[in-house]
Amino acid sequence: MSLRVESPGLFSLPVGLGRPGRRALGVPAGGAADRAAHTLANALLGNRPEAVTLEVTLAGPTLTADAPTACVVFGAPFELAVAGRAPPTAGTTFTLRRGETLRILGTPAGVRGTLAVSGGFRSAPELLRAGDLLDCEPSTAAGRALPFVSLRPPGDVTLRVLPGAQADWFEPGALEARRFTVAAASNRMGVRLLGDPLPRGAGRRASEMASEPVAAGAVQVANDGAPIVLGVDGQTIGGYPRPAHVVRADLDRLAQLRPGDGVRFRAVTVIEAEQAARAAAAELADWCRRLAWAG
Amino acid sequence: MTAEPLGDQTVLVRPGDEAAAVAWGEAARHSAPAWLHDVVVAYTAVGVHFDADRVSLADVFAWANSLEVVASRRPESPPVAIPVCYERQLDLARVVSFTGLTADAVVAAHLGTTYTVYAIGFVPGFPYLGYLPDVLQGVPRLSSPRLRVEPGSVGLTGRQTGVYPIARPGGWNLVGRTPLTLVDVAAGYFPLRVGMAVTFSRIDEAEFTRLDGTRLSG
Repeated sequence: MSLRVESPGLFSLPVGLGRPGRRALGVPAGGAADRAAHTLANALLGNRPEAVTLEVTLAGPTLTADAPTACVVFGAPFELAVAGRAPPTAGTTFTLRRGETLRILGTPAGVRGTLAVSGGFRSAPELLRAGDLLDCEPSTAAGRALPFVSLRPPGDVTLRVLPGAQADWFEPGALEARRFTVAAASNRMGVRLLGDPLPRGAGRRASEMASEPVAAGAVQVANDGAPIVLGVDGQTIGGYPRPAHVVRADLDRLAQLRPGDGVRFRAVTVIEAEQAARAAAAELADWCRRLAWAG
Repeated sequence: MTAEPLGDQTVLVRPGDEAAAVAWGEAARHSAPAWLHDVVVAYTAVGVHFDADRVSLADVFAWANSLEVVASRRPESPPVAIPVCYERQLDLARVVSFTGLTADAVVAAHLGTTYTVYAIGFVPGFPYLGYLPDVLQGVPRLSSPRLRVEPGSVGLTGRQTGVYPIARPGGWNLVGRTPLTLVDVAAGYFPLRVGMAVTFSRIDEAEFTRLDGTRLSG
């Protein structure tokens, strides 16, 4: 059985936890941009963390079930609609009945949502197109709900950063002193930031560098002084200098930045970065454990 | 050798020159600790991507510092020859005007060098080949990149030459095109690796048509 794609939405992609091992060939690890949302959506349905979910972006797809399917939409609080009944709520599991059509609409905050189905999708990860069939198993769900971990208080988002490989090319503290806004031309490859251009330090204005390995979270500054923060589908090597690197504990937050959002950077130490990552992992594991018990 | 954190799930190692980076990368892959995700060699740098849920940055540094690097384990293999139709160019005139060479001399210089794959990236399977002979160095990128560069297009800029394996926007000066398939991401086909030697050979339009779509090797 399957979900049939009536319309694909803006950018809907089946994702897992990513596939490292091919970066040396130029292939990024990919996977869910908001890993916590993906993992919790799976946990709500009793799935393993690596089960394939559908990542939806800003405007979601329309999908018709040909058999009962236990679903949940998590991550950004997308509005949902099913003709002929009260709309399901993002964050709460529901059963899409045979013949019913789920419309994943827009979201008032964040960018990305995750549609999980019981057992996960069994089709290959490729960008959705109308007419595609998303293979999954028949299932039903009891209503289970989780508060949104992706929701954040209004105001600027602060991303914690470690020094980048070319931190000394830039004026010390210049990145942290600025406020940026997220540009519309942002995607899974990178988040482009608009703001006061980041100046190079004295003696570094004309410096050029050979391309080096880079990773998700790298803050690259192009020659026009505008930063780009690399995402999970970002390039594997880069030739622009990098003043800073967003810590892994904040990569999910990066993935939910919406065009127009305000962004600031705050420098942390490696010890603080590792503590933050451990705390985030422990919190996620705790939620998953509680959901497993409740199930 | 120096090593520095590249965020908190990658370490950037600088073992010395390009050859040292290739040897270090091979040793790292050979060592293959369970937490190792990827080893990416680009020019003189090596990126070590690790599973940060399984190992601390400090332990990766300790591993990197104690890694035993021997001379390259890879047997010297003959250069990979990539056939290029230099008639299928778009920017030869630009290269001619920047270098002061004739078109034939540009092609001869491009053909007359054995290159090394120094990095793979930008798009899956794009080989950065270096270094161009002196007479071809220093041609700047197009002021505005093309929105679509066809697969197989052979470009050059600065000290580098390379082949676009799949259609992408791009700003390098296009001096020819290979009919061969250099990458098939879905099939896991990536014949080129960092450290390999590459030469170009000249083919005509008829040969281009005959070879169109075949794989680089095999």
